[in-house]
Amino acid sequence: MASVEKSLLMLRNLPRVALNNIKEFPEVIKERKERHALPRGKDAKFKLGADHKGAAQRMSRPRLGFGKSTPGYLRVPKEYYYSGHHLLRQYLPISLLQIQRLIDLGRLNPNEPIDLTDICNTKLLMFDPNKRHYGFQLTDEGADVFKSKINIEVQWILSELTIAAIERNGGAVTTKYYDIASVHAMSDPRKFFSSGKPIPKNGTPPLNAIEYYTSAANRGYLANPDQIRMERLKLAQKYGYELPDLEKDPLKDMLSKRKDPRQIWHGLEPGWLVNLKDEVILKPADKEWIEYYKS
Amino acid sequence: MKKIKILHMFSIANRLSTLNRTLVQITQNGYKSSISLDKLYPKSNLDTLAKPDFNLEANESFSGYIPIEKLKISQKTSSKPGGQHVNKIQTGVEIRFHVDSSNWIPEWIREKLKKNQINRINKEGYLIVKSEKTRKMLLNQADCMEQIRSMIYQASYKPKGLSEDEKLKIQIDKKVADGRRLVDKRSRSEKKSHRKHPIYDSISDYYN
Repeated sequence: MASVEKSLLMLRNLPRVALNNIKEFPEVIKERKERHALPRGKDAKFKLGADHKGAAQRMSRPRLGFGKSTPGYLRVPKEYYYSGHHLLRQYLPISLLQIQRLIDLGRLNPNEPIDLTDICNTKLLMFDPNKRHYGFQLTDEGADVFKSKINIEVQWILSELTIAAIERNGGAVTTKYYDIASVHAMSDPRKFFSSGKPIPKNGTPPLNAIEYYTSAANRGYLANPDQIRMERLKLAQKYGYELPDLEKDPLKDMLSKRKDPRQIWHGLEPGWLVNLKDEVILKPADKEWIEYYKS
Repeated sequence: MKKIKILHMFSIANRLSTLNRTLVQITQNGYKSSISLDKLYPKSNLDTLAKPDFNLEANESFSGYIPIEKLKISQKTSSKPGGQHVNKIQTGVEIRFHVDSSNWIPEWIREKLKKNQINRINKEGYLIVKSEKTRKMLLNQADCMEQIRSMIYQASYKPKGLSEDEKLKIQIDKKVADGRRLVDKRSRSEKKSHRKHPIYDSISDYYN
């Protein structure tokens, strides 16, 4: 038949059937559209799934969370994440890299014990006791590069890598707590001495810090020295360095210098009054006062 | 009120630390409050920088102590991607030690270690461990130490062995299982034989 031959000829010349040259029947498309469309005309519904009459149809239902007995804002429990934030202690971070740099530039003296006062005097960090800065914390950045032998005293250490990096080079590190009056004195000694107050007696740490300062792993100032020696060995074994033998070291006296828990500065006792102008120190003579400052 | 004659190096707060040195020479005993360390721990030796009292001899078992001077620690650049930091700074760590000549490991553990870690021991007998896990050399070194220590602990594992009661229980269980097995075997064979066509010698057997 002529029509068959014609269509076969067409097929031979037309392009290959692919996704870009086939199409659905228009009736099928229309049917699919009608099935998914909202009904219009006499079947039109504007209630959007709501019931007949009532608050739902009239769009006056209460907002999300309300409508039940206890509203949502009272049902969900409160979490007081920031309660007491204005009373928390803060420790300014100072890294091992910064300390090494200060020593290299001559702003910190490694031949003497390094203290809160020494770090404040470098004026590197904006240390403000009025903002509840209770001291400094050592971070472990620069642990690989650290190579000075120092006796450093900070207020908090989080990672044992910092302790390992210092002890590896033959140094010593302790964590000591100072209460806010002592911190005020230590951060600016000249201002404190000119105020005419006697050197304060450092307080004991608060309850939430006692565990930290009595543990040898943190080198706390209230920890047992026997345990500290074991911890030093443990750390040396963990990080793969030998504990340097400091028996014959000329700096051993400096490195093993530790303050009393109530003492703020080496060589100065609580209760003493330092007079910078006349270059004189006044000590208490009254028995009660002496007893108080030694308690 | 007492006066103390202060030496000439006493002027500004920055030099307070040097002042402390001179004053310490003047005050002989040093300040001791009611909570000083000698009162908190009266029986302890207060010298924290002294050598710790720890028995370091290698006994029958491995105590966990590794003498670091007998290991050879070398730093190298890491092989992973990372740009300038990884190319220039040697954060990778390699530790090697000669297994046969390590007296700090007991003999029997040494033999086992050679068997277990044969892939890590080179022709000259050095056990090689490396780590490039972290960005810090000290942490990688700690990782290597951890690997070595756990290898030695694994080699020193002694299985506990069976107690008398356990051995007896195993014997009894075995006998019970055998008995069970034979009973099952017999019942199975009977079942199969029942399925067969009955064979009769003579018709008299069938009728009697």
